[in-house]
Amino acid sequence: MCIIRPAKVRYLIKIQALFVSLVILTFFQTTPLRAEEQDQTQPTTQSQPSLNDRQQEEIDQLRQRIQVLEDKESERETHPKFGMNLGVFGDVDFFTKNREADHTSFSLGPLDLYSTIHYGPRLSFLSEITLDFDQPTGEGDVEIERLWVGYTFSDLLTVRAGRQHTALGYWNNTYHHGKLLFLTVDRPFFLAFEDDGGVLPVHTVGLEFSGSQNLPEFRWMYMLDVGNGHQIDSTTHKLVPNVTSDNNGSKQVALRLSIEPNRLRGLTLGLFGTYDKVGTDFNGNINERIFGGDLSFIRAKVEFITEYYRMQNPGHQADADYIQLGYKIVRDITPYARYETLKGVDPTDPYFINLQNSTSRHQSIAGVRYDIDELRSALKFQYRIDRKMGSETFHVLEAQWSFSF
Amino acid sequence: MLKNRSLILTTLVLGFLLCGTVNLRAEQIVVVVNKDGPLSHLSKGEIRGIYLGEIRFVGGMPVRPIQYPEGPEKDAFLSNVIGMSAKDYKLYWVKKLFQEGLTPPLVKADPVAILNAVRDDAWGIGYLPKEFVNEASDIQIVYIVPEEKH
Repeated sequence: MCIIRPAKVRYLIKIQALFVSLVILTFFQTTPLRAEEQDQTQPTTQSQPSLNDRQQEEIDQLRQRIQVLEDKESERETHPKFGMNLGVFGDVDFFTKNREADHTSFSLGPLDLYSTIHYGPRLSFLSEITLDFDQPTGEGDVEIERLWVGYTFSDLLTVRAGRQHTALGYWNNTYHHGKLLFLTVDRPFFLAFEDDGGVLPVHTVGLEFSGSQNLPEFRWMYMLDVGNGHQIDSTTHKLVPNVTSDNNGSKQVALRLSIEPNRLRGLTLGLFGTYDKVGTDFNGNINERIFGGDLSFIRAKVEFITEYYRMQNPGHQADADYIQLGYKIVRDITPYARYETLKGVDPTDPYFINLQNSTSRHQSIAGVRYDIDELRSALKFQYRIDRKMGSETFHVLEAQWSFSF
Repeated sequence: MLKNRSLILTTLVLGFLLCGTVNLRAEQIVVVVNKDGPLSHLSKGEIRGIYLGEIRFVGGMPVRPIQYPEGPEKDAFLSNVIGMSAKDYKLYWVKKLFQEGLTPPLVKADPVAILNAVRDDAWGIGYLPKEFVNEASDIQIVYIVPEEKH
């Protein structure tokens, strides 16, 4: 006797249900095709031309709308308006006690406003202004970080005049003030901006000549800056870029040469150097020479950057470098690590003796970045160990929510 | 066991239905320039350089690249010629704008507009489905995007 178990009955019912669904869906799929076939073989009915007319009318309307949009686009291209391409970078931070802050705190990062515009293919402008609060007074501070006008003669020569980031290394000419673009919470400490206690002259007011050439094997690029040098403020112990007038007749000159091999896209190798007669109140003008190299490999998942700087003046020298690696393990999560150091600082070096960061220092950083939206917003969490010669070691936890709109 | 068989059957049915509704035929994308212009001998590397803003001038005159809005044509072009996804390309231009003040290639909404722009501009370059180029005698194809990678 054949015994049909309830489970088997359910299975057979499921198969029947699927078969019926298949037949119904196949029928619906083929129905329009049959209708099309009928259209081809049978004379056109009276209702068909009106349908075609309506469709044609809709197509014409869409064409007109596209044309209007294109005209507006062309208008914008040929007669751009002031304020176009206005962008904002910002960040909100949280950190535990560290070398710069005595208490665990929340902090509002600078509001970075940038705007770029082209008038035709050759004339271009860029402005980047930051608004932030001075520590510890809490007073508002507005600073023009970059402001230039440029004219492009060819791919080999663009001339810009204004305030720009000195042609030193990879980081200084890639990320500027947009913290969303940093993989980490902040720049390497020795590459900090002058007013944040950095030891490198990262801004220049003057002329910049730049260009590039694509060759079959590689692309090469150059940047040459000629501008006002820096001086060191003896009260704040910070480097000051001479924005409105130079403190001596000598001009700072900086050059960076870099190549990108075509066989390994994303790899950039650079060499750079600068000469700056840095003014001080107690040591006169210091003939400071800074040179070094950078290597970076940036792809969709990998970000590897390393830079080396040697800072030299007669009888003294010091070195600074960092190495940073990040790897996107899943779609939006990138763990990263960085080691950065300033070493070999001579206590009698007239350049460092006048600066805030005047002794050797090392930092180790490990963290993770989560891209909420790679173009708009990211969360970063990191642990930082900050060791400075003759000073307390700090273990700092930091978090940052950076954004752009 | 029965559950597994049911699952396999369901998958087969859904697969059949999907195959019936999705158009598997991909359009062939070609890169076009004005036949009378100076861009008629561009290599893939040069096309890449133009769309990345690395090559901006040819023969002393500015090149005007034109791109599609988001869609399969743009994805095919970017992945095969530029070697980037649409998202990475957008991010690349956000950085380029912020770093150098350069703006991305102009966007035209449809292939006819791209064709007209290239036809009217000796320094214009665009990409579009090949079927739109056949009848245009004053347009030259300089690169055919390989189909197998669509």
